[in-house]
Amino acid sequence: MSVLAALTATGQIDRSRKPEPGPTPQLKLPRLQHAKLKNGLKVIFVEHHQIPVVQIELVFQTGAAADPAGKAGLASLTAQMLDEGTKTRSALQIADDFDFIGARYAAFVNADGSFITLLTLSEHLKKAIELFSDVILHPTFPDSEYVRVKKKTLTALLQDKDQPAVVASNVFARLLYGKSHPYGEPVDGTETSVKSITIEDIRRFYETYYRPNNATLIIVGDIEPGTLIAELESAFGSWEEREVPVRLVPAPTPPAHTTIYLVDKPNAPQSQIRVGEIGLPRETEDYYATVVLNQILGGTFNSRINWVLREVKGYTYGARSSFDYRKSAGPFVIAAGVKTSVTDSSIVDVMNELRRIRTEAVQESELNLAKASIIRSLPRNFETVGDIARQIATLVLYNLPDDYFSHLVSNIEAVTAADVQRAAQHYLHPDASVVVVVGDVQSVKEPLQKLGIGPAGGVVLVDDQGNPLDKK
Amino acid sequence: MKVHLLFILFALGVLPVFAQLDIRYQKYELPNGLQVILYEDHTVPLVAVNLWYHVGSAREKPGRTGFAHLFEHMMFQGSEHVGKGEHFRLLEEAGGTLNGSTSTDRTNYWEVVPSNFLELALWLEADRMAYLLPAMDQAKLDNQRDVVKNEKRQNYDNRPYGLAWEKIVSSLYPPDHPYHWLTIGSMEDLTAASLEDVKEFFRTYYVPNNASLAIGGDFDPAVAKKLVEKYFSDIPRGKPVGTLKKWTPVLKEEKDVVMEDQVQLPRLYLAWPSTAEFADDDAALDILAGVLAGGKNSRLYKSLVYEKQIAQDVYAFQNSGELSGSFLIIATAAPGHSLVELKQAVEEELSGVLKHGVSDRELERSKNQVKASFIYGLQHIGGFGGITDQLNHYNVYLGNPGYFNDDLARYERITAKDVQKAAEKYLATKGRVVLSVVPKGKTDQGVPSAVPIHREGS
Repeated sequence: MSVLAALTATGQIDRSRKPEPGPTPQLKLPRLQHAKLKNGLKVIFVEHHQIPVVQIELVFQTGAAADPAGKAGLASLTAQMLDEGTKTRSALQIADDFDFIGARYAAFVNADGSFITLLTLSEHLKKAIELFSDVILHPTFPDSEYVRVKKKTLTALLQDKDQPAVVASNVFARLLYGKSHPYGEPVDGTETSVKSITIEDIRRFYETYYRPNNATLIIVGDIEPGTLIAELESAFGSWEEREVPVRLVPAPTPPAHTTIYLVDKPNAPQSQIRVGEIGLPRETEDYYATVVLNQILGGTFNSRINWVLREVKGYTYGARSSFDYRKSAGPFVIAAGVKTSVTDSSIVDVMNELRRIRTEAVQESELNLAKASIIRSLPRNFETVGDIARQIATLVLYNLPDDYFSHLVSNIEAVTAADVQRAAQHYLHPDASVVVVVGDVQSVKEPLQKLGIGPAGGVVLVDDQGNPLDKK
Repeated sequence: MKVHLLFILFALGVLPVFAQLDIRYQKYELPNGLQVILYEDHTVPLVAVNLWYHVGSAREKPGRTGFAHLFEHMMFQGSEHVGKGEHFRLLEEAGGTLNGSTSTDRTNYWEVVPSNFLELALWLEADRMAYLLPAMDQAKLDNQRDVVKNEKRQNYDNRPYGLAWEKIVSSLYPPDHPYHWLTIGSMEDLTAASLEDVKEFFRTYYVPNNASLAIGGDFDPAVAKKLVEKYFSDIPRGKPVGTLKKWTPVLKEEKDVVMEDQVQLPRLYLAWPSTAEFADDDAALDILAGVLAGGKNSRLYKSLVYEKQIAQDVYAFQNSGELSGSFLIIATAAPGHSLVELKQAVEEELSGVLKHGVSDRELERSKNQVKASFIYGLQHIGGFGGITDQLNHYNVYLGNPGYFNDDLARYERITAKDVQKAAEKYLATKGRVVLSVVPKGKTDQGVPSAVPIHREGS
């Protein structure tokens, strides 16, 4: 290796030259072993014996997008209620059983799926599977526990009012997708919707969607799939298949022009800003081009938006952009918390970056940096059993092939500056975006009005649910 | 250069309650005082570089708080051979991830990169250790000062209950204790920081004899040693950095503080002076925290959140640093319930532990959770709390990077009596801080006390 040769002589080294990397190491991608139980439950095993731990992850193909109108938060509450009592164990007993073996149980949802996960030491795997299957197969949804969980959820929603970042994101989604679109509602619901959710709603959601044919069980870690499959058959075998309705997400209406919506947070030292529009679904031929586009625009510390707003101007502690690729088109959004006095300037800078990436092809150096950082960061996604399970969950949710990761590198490498510009022009519309600012109205309203954005140039004042306030 | 090879030889799977961990590392020291720790793991083609400087906010002086953390920011702004922005750009281009943090006692910097980029990481770390000052200027200081102020706004000022912690440490610790102020510092002190102040800080504390470098993951130790020699060996040793005294104040009486904030629900903070990390009672206090608030069946959660439903949430933890520590119980009131109610319920549960101790099951459950956390953490080579961070943690505070099994052992040997005794020793006293954070205009929702209340608006 050249390093050793260069060091045979003592004396001053040349620090001015950045050292070159050695040859790219081979990444051993995890080997997926597929199985299926008699009741239709798909199982994916990955053996990973480095540390004696196991991650169990049950992925359902139904998430918050299936919440009925007026019942936003139902998918989330159903997942949360699973461990609040089963036929043989009370809520306290379930918690004690998991805690006693040091296992970490979690249940959560996003728009596309519901995820029930358990991290355990492999020495307790048998017990972990017993507890886990009990919670999935035999929840009883006790009324008394639901009273408590519902109260807690409503209180958490109350507390969200003081989290400007949460308010900004929720209002942004509501205004972008509209009230009657599932993506316009928060995953955890609102005060109104949660109040209307009954334990019967939860039982019905569970009976409808928590079916083995609607799920995939992922198990990663220090396991022996050969012996494990029999245990799983025994633990999950009684779970009955049933046809599961498909909930289609309607096509949203994109904004016709840009409007600035302002939510008051009196005396706020910072404004939370969201700028964005309808993005694209996961199943798109523009996936790789937009991943690279986002990396350059606002996906990393060195991306254009963070660089300008944080390192050049000192407006913010951090600014990022993202495409949320869901089963249907999730949002594209730029998010930042900026010092109140520069709220208007920050929005100007963001708009400038959106325009610039459309009108000018990106530099080769930027393009190569973005692609290299994506490709080379791949191994980091496979370090822990949780990381591996999460990557497989993505394959499961979006119907991606097992060899997806081995082709990812060449797909990213193939993206050109022209592809990026084309994607920018197709998907980024600074003149037809939704802008949300959660900040001190007294300080920011006038400067924002002076920007003259939108047809009337006005700024629309809204409450923390996105409803317009009466004109003053 | 002396090389200490230490092999911890146990097989996993043959065990008493606690697994014996097999953390094989090498430790040696360069003539300039830099301590180096190497840990091999070829599972994934990644290598983690983790560097601890034994300096934190405890080294600051009143009037110049926030320095160690501001300095941490400056370390990312380039050095003599690395342009502004290059540090981030090069590591991102390498597909790496990076960060740093400042505590009361130490500042750590780390990156995790594909294994073929080890030399890049070492070149960057060595350059900023040796050659930061030539590249530091007023413009960079001003810019990062603004970034840090934004960080304070985002994480403290514009966040519900964000200003509570500052109130707690300044009440628990007297002005002459190094834990009296927050690592983020104050806006005034940040504004007052001059370029010369910052340079002096660097010359004093950012020297190889005050640092510990851990390299972990997929690398060849012979190559790593040569690279460390290449980049770090000619950095001159600095003046010796003295140790700070470990001490914990005794509060003679209860300190009651009421603070208004932009919050929906009032929250109660109880803080008692306790002990430093690794001190005799530290592990027992960790176990006590688990018994009190670790899970649905814990004393406080079960009573306040599950049964009585007077609290939205409750936490307990032993917050120990190198020099001192405090034990915290924090509870947020459920709507319609008062902090007086909460305080009463907490004290009821505490007196239960004081009078009757803890059960065997509670003890074992808490210990099992500690052990499991340990093992889950071993999956990470780099990052905060990863193996390389932990090696440095043990090395800097105890001089022994391989303390893993000893660390597990100090929990394993805790008895129910130990937990009860720790509660008696630290929590049975009136000498504590009682902080009420209440919604604006609702100071009457604070816990009243016999002594005049110190009111703060925010």
